[in-house]
Amino acid sequence: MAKGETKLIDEKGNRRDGRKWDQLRPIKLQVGLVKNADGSAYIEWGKNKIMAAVYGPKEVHPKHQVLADRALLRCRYHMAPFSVDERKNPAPSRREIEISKVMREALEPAVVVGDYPRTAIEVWVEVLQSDGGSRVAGITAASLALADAGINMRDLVVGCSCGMINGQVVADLDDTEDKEGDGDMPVAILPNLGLVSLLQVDGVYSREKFQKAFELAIQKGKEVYGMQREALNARFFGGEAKVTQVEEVAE
Amino acid sequence: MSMKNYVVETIRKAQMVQLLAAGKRLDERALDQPRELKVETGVIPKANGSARVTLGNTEVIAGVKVATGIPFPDTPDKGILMVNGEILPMSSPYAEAGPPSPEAIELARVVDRGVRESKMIALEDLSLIPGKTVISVFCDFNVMNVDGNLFDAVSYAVVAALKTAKMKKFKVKDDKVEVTEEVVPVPVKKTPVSVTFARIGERLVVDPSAEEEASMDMRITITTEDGGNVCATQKGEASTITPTQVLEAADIAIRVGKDIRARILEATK
Amino acid sequence: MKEAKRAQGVLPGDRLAVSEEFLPGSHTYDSSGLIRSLTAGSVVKDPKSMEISVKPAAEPGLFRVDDWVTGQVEATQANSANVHIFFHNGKPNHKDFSGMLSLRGLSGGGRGERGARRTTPVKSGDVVRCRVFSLVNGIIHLNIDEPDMGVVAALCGICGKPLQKGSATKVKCDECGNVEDRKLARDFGTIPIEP
Repeated sequence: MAKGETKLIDEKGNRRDGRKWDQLRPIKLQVGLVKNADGSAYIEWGKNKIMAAVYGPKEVHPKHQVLADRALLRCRYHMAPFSVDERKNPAPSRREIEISKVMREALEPAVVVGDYPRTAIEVWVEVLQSDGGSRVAGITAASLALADAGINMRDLVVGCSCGMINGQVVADLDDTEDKEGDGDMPVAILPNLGLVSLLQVDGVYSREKFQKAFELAIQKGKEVYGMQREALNARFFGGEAKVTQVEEVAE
Repeated sequence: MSMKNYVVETIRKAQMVQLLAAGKRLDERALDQPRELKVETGVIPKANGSARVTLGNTEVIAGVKVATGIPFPDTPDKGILMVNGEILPMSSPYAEAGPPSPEAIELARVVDRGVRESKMIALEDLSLIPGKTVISVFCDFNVMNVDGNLFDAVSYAVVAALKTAKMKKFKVKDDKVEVTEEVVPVPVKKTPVSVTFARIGERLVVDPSAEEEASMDMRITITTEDGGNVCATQKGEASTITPTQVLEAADIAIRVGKDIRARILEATK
Repeated sequence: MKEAKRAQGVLPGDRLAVSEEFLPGSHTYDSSGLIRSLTAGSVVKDPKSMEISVKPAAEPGLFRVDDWVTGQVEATQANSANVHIFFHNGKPNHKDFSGMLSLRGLSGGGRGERGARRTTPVKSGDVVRCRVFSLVNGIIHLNIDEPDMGVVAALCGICGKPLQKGSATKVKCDECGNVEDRKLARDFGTIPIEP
């Protein structure tokens, strides 16, 4: 069946996995699982299983990459060969290289790189099992790993992807909805500062639907942000200390 | 993979040799005692088979993918088996991103050899249309955290993933391969188990930790199969071993391997 | 000073106060009139200085002035040496950092003609314990002036065997009889594995 023709949402507004148009898949977050790393976080988001780990600030190699005034942030998004339906070649694909780049550019605005001159901060994101929305899940985990490493951050970074299936705006596309739907829009935000640090769009959207999908992604991102807070709360404050409430962000 | 601080290591090693002479290890294990082994299977549902293994603080995830492929010209009636993997850059401060290092390739090949030579999977069973189409079984591993003895941790993860692997049954009809909906296990016959030793000074220790590996002179991996027969061996590092020690290691590998095999069989039931 | 007041846990980006109420202290920043946290931790308010800061729950283990490190000398110049750091305040450190050890004004070694050092207080390959005395320009500046600082272990330059303590400023090799100068830490040769 051609793209856009598969029935992904029925007349009652139920999606194939029973979700409503604006519902997220189940999400589980855990901070601090990679023993050797300075910070780490694991996320399960739908069928995504992703580990993110941070090393640094550490010495920069090769030396000519040293930045005198700030840290060099490195990021690698990589998929395990067994993470997808058909075995993936372990060598990084063009897709993985591009995602690594936009992921770094989504995280760096939050990291106070100026506090760590002449050092490197490495963010490794490994997709162990892949589903739709792995890049925003990866960013969500990577931001927790950075916070776990105690690296100064202006805000956490949280992502959510929205898009269109059968011409209708929906939240959080899974693999099938991504492949057979009409479009995908991954968005990452700095939730307290009300800023967008990642935005990619594919598909064709009317002006109204573009806005609806974009605003839905931000709104759903804030929902995931609540789970990020819980995960860090469990890591640092034993889940007991009352963590201060988020104030509403001006749109 | 380890830091190049020659003096620190020389001093450390002198200490370790002294301890070992008294039959002691830094973490108080017996010389022939492996660390705690945990085997968890089915951790990656999208894979045909998968396992997460922790050996002390070393952690490995392995996943199996089954597909059809073209046989190698010299073995037209045999399926394809491949063990491959990566020491993830997140696994250690000394691991690097990029194409696999000689160490990572050796690791994958030694584990592959144990699986292949033990006839764990009879490749003849994976033939569909001789010379044209065969079943290929890929087992990839990801080293998630390094604390020494990757050889054994990877080997156990790969074996456990293969032992629990399931695939859709292939059918040959009119010289064409069809995929059926019937799910069958990947045909696995044996359970090869590797046991790796480090020689530090004069003594051999089983399942070396990262700390012990930093001081080791020589490494040897001996893989045995269910019958207690040796099916693969690899000596590593730029030093030597005496013939007596090789045979001593073989005896220990058979004995310790038996216990570990029982653990893997239990976890992959 | 009175004990500073503590509040509950905060996370990066959390709003702590408005800048009319407090001054931004450590691990906080001012963003358009709002003081926010830069890290996960607990809020500390100092009513005297009117400063609000966050005590981090986790820190990346960076070097601070007055910390001590143990490392290996990699290269020596006339007045400085490069030290590859392996331990930080006694704990293993895998961040691969190097520090610059200042040898200026050290008594150990003495000087020959034209002011050139006849010997150096540390040699390439030595394990040295050093004090961090400055972090200017992001460079870890080290010195070994104190009695507890200096070379803690070294190998013989001729035969490669561990050197033993000879006198306060000399080490000797029991194997080949070689004698060398060093600026020794007081406990040279007594440290077994950890520094």
